[in-house]
Amino acid sequence: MKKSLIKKGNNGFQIISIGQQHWKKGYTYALDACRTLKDQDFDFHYTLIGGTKDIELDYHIHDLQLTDLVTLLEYPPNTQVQTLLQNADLLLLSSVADEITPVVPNAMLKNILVLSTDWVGVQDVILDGETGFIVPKRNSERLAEKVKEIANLPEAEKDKIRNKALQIVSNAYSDTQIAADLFDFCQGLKND
Amino acid sequence: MIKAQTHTVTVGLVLSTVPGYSETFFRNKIKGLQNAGFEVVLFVDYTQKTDVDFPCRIVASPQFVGPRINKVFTVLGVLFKALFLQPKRSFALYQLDKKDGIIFKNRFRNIILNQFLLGETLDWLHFGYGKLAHGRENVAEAIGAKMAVSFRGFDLYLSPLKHPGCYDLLFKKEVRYHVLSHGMKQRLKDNLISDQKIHVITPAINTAFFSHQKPIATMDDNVINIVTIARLHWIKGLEYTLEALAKVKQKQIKFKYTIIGDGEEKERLVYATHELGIAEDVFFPGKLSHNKVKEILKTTSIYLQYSIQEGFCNAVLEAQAMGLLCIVSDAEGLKENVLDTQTGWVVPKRQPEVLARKIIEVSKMSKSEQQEITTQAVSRVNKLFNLERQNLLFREFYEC
Repeated sequence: MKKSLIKKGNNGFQIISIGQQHWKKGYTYALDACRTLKDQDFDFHYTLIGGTKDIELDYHIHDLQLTDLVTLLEYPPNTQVQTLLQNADLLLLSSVADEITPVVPNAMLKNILVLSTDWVGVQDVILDGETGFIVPKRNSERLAEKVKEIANLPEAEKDKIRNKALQIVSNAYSDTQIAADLFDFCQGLKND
Repeated sequence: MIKAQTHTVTVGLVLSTVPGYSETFFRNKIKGLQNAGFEVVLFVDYTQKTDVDFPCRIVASPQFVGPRINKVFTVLGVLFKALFLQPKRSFALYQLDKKDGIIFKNRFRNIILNQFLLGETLDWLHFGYGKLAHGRENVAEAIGAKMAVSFRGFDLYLSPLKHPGCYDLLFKKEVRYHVLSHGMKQRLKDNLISDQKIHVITPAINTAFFSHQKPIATMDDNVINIVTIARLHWIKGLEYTLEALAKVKQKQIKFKYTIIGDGEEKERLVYATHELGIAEDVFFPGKLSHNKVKEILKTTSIYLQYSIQEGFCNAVLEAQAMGLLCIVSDAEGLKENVLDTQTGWVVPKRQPEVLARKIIEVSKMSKSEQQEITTQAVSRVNKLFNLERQNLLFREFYEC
């Protein structure tokens, strides 16, 4: 694996997606959005971790002439995922159906902006425009627009969103909060 | 001009399996060649009980499966045949592979895996798909036959992405290529294959069977009947098609969309129909017989083939022959299959918004405008994509 693939300041705006390829991940929409961004001369690089050995993605990238702008990586050990995530500007979730994985809070804890499609459950973590960004599913044009919009936000605005996300996720995922949630859950079971 | 036959030309056709009843392309090709006096031998990886009535001789590869002891005995048996029944050809294959820099282990493997091809006396060894020629690039020369390879779309456009360099050796060999479209021919020329070696023979259909004298199916009750015949596979662009139809529905246009075919991605597509709010408008009847397909096409107005990748597509030919209004993507062979605004409409792939607009535009055309397009389509398919013409071109392919 190329450790230095994502370096802030190089190769434009760094976008990353993490998760094993499955149609539910909607990666083809992310790639279609990449093609739109390319057509608009937007300077970016998209790294997709977990997207290797999939002929659909390979063909999509080749056919859309995105070979230089998109990198598919095998799922590396967790420490390397953390490094790659740390060096990204934006975590992109293009799913048509998904569930909250540790990737989203992890990114927020690392001060990475998160853009997701509006699959059921994502609003539990991302508040659009406050702790991250949400766009409609199956809409690559809107996805591309939003990526550009985020990249062009003033740094102070980005910091505001990052800080709010950090605050929310720190509280929601703190040991105390998890213990309290677990206690409430068990109480609920007992009462049932 | 076809030369007079001086001896029976024997063509060895290499496929993975014996073509099923519905796989008309190879069945028609074999029948056409036999009718023209050719002898055809079919080489396959394995056979099934249902293959007994296939109309040509079938040679199946030995099966290297089962417990280790079985595999060892199979390999020893094959090796015995290679060394004692076809020693010259086996040695020739070994030497040719060595000349190409193939490592010893693979040279040995090639003799074992290709032994079932070495025993036949053929004029032509024709690989039905490009990927079937991989690891067999020297077999034809070793048995003193000419080599032919057909590319059918997936094997030309996708296999090199999955297996980079898989055709590097093949493209250096003396091969006569058959491709389905001029776009595929250009792709081979981009790989430095000379023009004369590449023959474009498009698919053909039974135009007598797929004919329909009635005018275009009416769009009664303001419901447009739309059909696609395709494997349920990402390559067919069905998710984009559903997105386009969701946009059509948003314009208050009623339709019934039937996707005829089975495949691994049914869950993905059914999920999409629910998400897009068109579940009650889309039907998945599965794979159907030719007769049932024809019955459905008779009551259909618009045929869609919005593929991401397509070699040529017989189903679009059948739909055109049946007088349907055909809207296809610009994927590879499709833009040669349908001539934009002459025999149907070609729209850029992966752009559901554009496809939706085209569906609406076509559905709102006057009957006379629609009739003009379908008349031209029927005429062109009958003239250029009939089985007789295809058979003639294949005979010329082997004889020129």
